[in-house]
Amino acid sequence: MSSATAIESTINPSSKSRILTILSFPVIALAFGIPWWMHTTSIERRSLAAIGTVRGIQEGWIEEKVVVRVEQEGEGGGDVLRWTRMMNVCVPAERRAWELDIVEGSREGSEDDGAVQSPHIKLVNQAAYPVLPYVDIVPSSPSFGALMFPAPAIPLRHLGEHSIPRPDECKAAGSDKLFDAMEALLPLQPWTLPGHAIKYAENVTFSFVLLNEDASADKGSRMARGWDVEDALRTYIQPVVAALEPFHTVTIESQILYHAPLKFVPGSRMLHNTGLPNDTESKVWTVSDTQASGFVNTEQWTLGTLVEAFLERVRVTNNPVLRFLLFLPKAGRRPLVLEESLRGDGEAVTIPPTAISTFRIPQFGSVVIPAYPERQEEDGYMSSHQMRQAFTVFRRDLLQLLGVPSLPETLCRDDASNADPGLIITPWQFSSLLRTHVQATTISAVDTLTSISRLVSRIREMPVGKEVVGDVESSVDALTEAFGKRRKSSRAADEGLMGVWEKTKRASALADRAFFNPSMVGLLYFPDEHKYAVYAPLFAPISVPVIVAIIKEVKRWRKKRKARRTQGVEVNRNKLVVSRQEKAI
Amino acid sequence: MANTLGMYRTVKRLGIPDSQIILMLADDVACNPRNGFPGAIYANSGRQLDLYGSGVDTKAANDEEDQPEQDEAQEGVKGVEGVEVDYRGYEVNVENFLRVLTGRLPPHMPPSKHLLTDSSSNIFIYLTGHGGDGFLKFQDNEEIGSRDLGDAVGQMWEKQRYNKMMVMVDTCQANTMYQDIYSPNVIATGSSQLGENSYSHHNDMDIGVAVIDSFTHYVLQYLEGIDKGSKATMQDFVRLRGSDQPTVKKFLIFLPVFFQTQFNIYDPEKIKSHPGIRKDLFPFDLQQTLVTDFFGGVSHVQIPLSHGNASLRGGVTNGTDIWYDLAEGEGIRTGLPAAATNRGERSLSSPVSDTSSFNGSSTSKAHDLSSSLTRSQDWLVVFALGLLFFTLSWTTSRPGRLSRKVKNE
Repeated sequence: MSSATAIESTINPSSKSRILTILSFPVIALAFGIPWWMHTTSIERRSLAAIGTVRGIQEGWIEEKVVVRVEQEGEGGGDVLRWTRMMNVCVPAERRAWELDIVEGSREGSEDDGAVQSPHIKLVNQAAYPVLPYVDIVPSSPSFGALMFPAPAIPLRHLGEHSIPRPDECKAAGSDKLFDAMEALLPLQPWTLPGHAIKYAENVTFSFVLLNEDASADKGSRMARGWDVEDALRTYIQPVVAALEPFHTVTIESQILYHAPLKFVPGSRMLHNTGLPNDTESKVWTVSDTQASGFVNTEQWTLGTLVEAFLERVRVTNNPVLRFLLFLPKAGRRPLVLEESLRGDGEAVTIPPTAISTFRIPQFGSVVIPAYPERQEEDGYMSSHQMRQAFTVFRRDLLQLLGVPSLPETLCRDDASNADPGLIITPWQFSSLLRTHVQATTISAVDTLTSISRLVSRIREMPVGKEVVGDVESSVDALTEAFGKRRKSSRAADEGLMGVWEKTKRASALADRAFFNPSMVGLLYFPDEHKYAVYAPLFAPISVPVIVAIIKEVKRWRKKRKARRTQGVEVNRNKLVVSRQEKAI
Repeated sequence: MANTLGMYRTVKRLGIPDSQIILMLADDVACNPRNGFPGAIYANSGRQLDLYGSGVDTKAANDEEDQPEQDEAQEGVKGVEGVEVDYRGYEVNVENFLRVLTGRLPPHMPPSKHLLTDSSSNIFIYLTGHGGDGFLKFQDNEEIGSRDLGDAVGQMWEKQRYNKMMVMVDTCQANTMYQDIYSPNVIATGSSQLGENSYSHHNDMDIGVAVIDSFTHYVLQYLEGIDKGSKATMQDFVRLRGSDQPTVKKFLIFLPVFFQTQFNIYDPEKIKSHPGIRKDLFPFDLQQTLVTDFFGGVSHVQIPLSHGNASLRGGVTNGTDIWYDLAEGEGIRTGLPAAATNRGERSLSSPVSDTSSFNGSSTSKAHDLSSSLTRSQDWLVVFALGLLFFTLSWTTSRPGRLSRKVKNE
């Protein structure tokens, strides 16, 4: 008997250690498992409090003024100084986006450095020039790009430090006229980008494509084997790209397709007197309105050389591409013109050999179709001169697709409208575009930042990591720098609006990077029943033996307690018996 | 699989280039060794149209022979060549799908895997596979919930990644998939309502599987009749199976939720389920919205107004400001005085639930403008869970074929 208990006690652990063993399972699970589980499943969500400060930045709030330089043609420097001061006072600062300044003598040196100069006004003698102000866009002119403004004929009063000119004095000095002209050029509220223009992107790709509709149909040298695109780009596109350098980094690609079929058959019409020599009646092929909208056959034309560019490790990943297509209809389909251009003229239309048809596709590019494609007879090469018209159109469309504003018609003179300026972007357009872009990037940055904070508060599963917070904070910093205290401390004249632009551009890029940070994808929302469905099969089988053991232990303990109680009663009874026996003795 | 490829072929035919289509296929059925027609996928039992390889429409080819003078016009019809799959196999998962939508892809991803859209893009999302109440299965081991889809669309709206969006789901209980979308300018449609299966259209006995789903089949059938220049509106699209049929009208009365007055689309009897439509988030008039807004890449071209004949005379002017929108037939003034065009639209970004602000003249104006300018940018996400029925029941058809062979011998 005693040996059996001894053996039992050595094999089975004591009830104390048994209970410890059983309890250690749930205790370890609770003490270590739950914190570990919490740690691994928690979503890192850092504070984005910095965003709160950008709410104060209003959309389009640009305090920085465009410095406009004033000079006078001919004699009389004293009056210019007076006029400039007077205009700055006559037009209140909150009504204008510009600030007049006198031309310094040293400015002459900066004219030749190729960059777009700051806008300037040239005061001209009323007697020699027309009264209305205009912008000089004749490239050969020495005052190219300047706003020619008629100088007031009356002598101007010298203004003291605090004196304010009377309204009639202002008017006589031409303040109203100046305000109108300047509002057209540099409006207080900057233009938003027109709908056909692409959204601002720092890296842009231009793709110039020469398309032979069907080179095999053009016997021998009649097809365009190649084009002198480099020369054409140098002549027509390069100046524009250089002028826009502060905004865009441009990648240019070119491509030649020898088989670019259309998806439709153009209509045909007989025309008299097409303008060709020895030709009184001939067939003209027409592209209707609906055909034009499906003209670019993206399905069969392999446009774009993105892959090649990619192999050369040019980072083109997200570049918007503007495509400029020079389409050469195949033999037997010439001339190919837009039906629109023939409308209303009956049969009296003449199509000169140099005619081109062109249309623009918003946010995509433009298409040029020469009626009679020129090329060099011997080798089928197109020289840059033969593509002059096409590239002039491309240049114009390119500017518009990038959102460069054109000069207001009211400030254009008739005699200048036929000019073909080498540099199309005047300082006025540049400054106006700069203000537009500053506003657009500011809005974009503020919008992105606020939408990040809105999304983070709405989607609870969205992680907010260190990188995101870093980007958001630097973006906010850049915005506050651009519009905040910097201006009070040092108003660096050389920085000016360009400095603001650099900062807003950076702010917008950083905000975008924060928004598109790959860590921001919250994976995922699970409904509660999914959680049970996942955890139950995992934990139920494990917990069964533990729970059963605990129940058993509890039962055993209760049994023991019961046994001990009855044993205790017996012991008492025994004691009682013993005491009675003692009494009896 | 055939569902998705059919949709892919259709949108490509309607002018959306591959660079603007993101195609996700979880399985490569065409090149599966168990496919009896290697390198080909068919959407009908007659196997007229191979959706995968050459894309040659044999019917169209026959027509060509009959009418040689139409030869050139037919060139384009057969021209859907090849399939460009952007995400395949195990790349097709919930995470990647959400990353594509929200644009949060790792920097090394090539452009073809990016959804490079902006506030002027229209997006069409097509989802098919196995689904259930509020979810859609990916790859047999994970699923996307309707709430995840809703949040992803919400984030896209916040970042102005779309102008208009259409979500089309063809799964069982598909209508539950779009219930949690809350962003404006979204129109959503699904093949079947809660508790309902979405059935296949017909079987191909030679392959031994069902080839295409009913809902998709009828949608594609309708779209087949549409070409690039089509003026068909979404209203026409959803009236797909003639509203003159009395059955539809009956359902109009019984199911006012699913068939609201205008959107009396698809015939439940033919489709064998009740397709749903959700347009409370879509502020535009369906009669004004073209089908090609979503399914086609129709660019609206503009020519300078002063150009017209001037171009024929060989002149090129520089500062032309008036542009003439060919298709819309109205002059659009651009350049400097274009002023605040999109601001009205942009302000919509914050109040998501307030759809009442969409009503009124300003909205229709915004719509005209955006739709006229942006059709070239139509983007499209086609997503598919492949592995439809092709491989699943292939084995069952095999013994039959073998026994036939034996008989012949």
